[in-house]
Amino acid sequence: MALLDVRGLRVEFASRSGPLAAVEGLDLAVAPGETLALVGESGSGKSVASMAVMGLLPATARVSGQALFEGEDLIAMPPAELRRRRGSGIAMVFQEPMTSLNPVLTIGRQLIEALPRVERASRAAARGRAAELLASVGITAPESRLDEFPHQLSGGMRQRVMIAIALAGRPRLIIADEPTTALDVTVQAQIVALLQSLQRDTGIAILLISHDLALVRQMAGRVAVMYAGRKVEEAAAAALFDRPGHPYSAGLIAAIPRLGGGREARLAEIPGAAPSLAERGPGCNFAPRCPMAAEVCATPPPATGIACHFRTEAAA
Amino acid sequence: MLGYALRRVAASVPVAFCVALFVFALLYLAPGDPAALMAGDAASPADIEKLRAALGLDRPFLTRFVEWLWRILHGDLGTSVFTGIPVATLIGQRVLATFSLMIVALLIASGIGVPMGALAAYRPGGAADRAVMVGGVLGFSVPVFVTGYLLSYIFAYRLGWFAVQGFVSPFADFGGFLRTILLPAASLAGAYAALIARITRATMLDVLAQDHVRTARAKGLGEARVVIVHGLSNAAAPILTVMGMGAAVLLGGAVVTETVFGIPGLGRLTVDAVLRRDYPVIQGVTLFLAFIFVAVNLGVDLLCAAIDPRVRQ
Repeated sequence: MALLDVRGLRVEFASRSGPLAAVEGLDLAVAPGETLALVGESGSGKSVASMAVMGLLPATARVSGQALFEGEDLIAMPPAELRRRRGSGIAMVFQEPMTSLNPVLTIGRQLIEALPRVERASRAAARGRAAELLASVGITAPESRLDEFPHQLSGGMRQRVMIAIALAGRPRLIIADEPTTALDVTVQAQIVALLQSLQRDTGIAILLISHDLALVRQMAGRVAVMYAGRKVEEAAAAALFDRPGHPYSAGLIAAIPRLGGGREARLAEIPGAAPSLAERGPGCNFAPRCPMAAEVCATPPPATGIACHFRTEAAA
Repeated sequence: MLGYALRRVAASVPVAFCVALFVFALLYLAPGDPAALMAGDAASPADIEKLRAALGLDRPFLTRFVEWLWRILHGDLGTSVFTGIPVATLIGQRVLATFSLMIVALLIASGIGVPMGALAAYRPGGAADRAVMVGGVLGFSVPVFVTGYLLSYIFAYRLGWFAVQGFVSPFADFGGFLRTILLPAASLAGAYAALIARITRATMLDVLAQDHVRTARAKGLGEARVVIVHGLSNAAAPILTVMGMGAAVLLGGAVVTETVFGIPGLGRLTVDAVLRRDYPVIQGVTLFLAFIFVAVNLGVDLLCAAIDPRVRQ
């Protein structure tokens, strides 16, 4: 059974011209211990989808569909129930380590409040466990770091602290939303290595949200590609990078810069820009940018498998 | 922290000096001749001239200012020309009433303003937000003497729950203290509570939208903890700063409140001194209140630094 099973997730935001869907009919399944990457451009709905699962969207968002975590629907459950699963069932690591930590509280306080109640029972034990967590994410002199404030740490350190906070509740799933985007390249590699070793040691599942395909290739077992609020393709990482099915996936992969491409080799790009929420229609939303676009693309693409008229024909 | 505190205290010295200069100059430039006033209607011009010389009013501005400052530094605020009592003694007799009034008003105002402002920011457009909006307009626009007489009429005169006039020391009779202080403090708190609610709402709106609040929720913390621990800890410094500035509202309002409720405090002392042109008293009390204001804001800055590590940098 999947650890997290998202079915038909839809997220709408109210606008002056009626509700606009940021995520439409998203299906995702994360198995225990695996890494699923959710990729797509900014605005494709990947972060909104993850926030919807965690119940962290503002009250103006309307969420429908199901998000079964260990068989229980996170979207239908009362807020207090959902709150108990945050941190201990599913934890999150955010993109901005600069602003994701509270600037006026010490690292220790922010770590300790994320611990399960039993581990917070005694002050000394809580501090001990907090120091242990900092050590487990590769922070040296963890005892003294507990009394420091976020601004005293570097960006990479802060992201390590964020990961330690995520681990504090002993979750089964970590949603990592662009965990390395705001970091220097060398620090990015360290954070990736850290996440991978933590996963090996604890068997935690990771839902990696990223637009960085190099990172995805390195970390993910499976990849789901999102475009304009919909999943257009899902495949094993190796297969996807080898033989992308959807023209959008192919475009993304072709746009990865490669070593040895030569100074003159122009980087491939996908022409045009993703449609805004209001510009989306019932047909294939990628069609205006797609080299293969034809008349049939104005009709809704296949709901299962690769969301492209031409790919299903080829498969049939 | 210690370094910051020392720097901040040192920075208050020139401020205090400027305040002293300003207070002195204000009365120097004020119209009216204190010597003529004190000598009375029957005095001849020669008598007035003699009195002026005796008071030292004929000497140049700077000489008088330096002398005045020198005496103040030695704890001598001068003597009331009307009663002959040292100004320091007069202030000492009345400071308890005024401070009690201000502290109780502060407690009432922050006790209402901070939670209401936080609730308003938590649900913009909700019931608390609308209450803050309406209460804010009322608090700012209804003068202290109107609320004062209204509260006094309802709760003291009609219902008899509180005393209409006067002041009882909290050290002598705490029940009596509450009966005399609560109404004036409540009427004084109005505008201040409105100010605190507005700044709390504005600051919390900003803070609650920050990324770290989302992190706190993602940890599974309860909403109360998210708002109070993570929201207010970040909003505290701006709120406290505005509260410190707003202490001027309390000081000014205290003068009117003390008159309405017949409280023998510094405000009444000032009003009486102004009416009699009792210059040493006016100067002494004004300077004292100004120093209190400077001290309050120094205290606020140190408190902010204690709460927010970024301020200490």
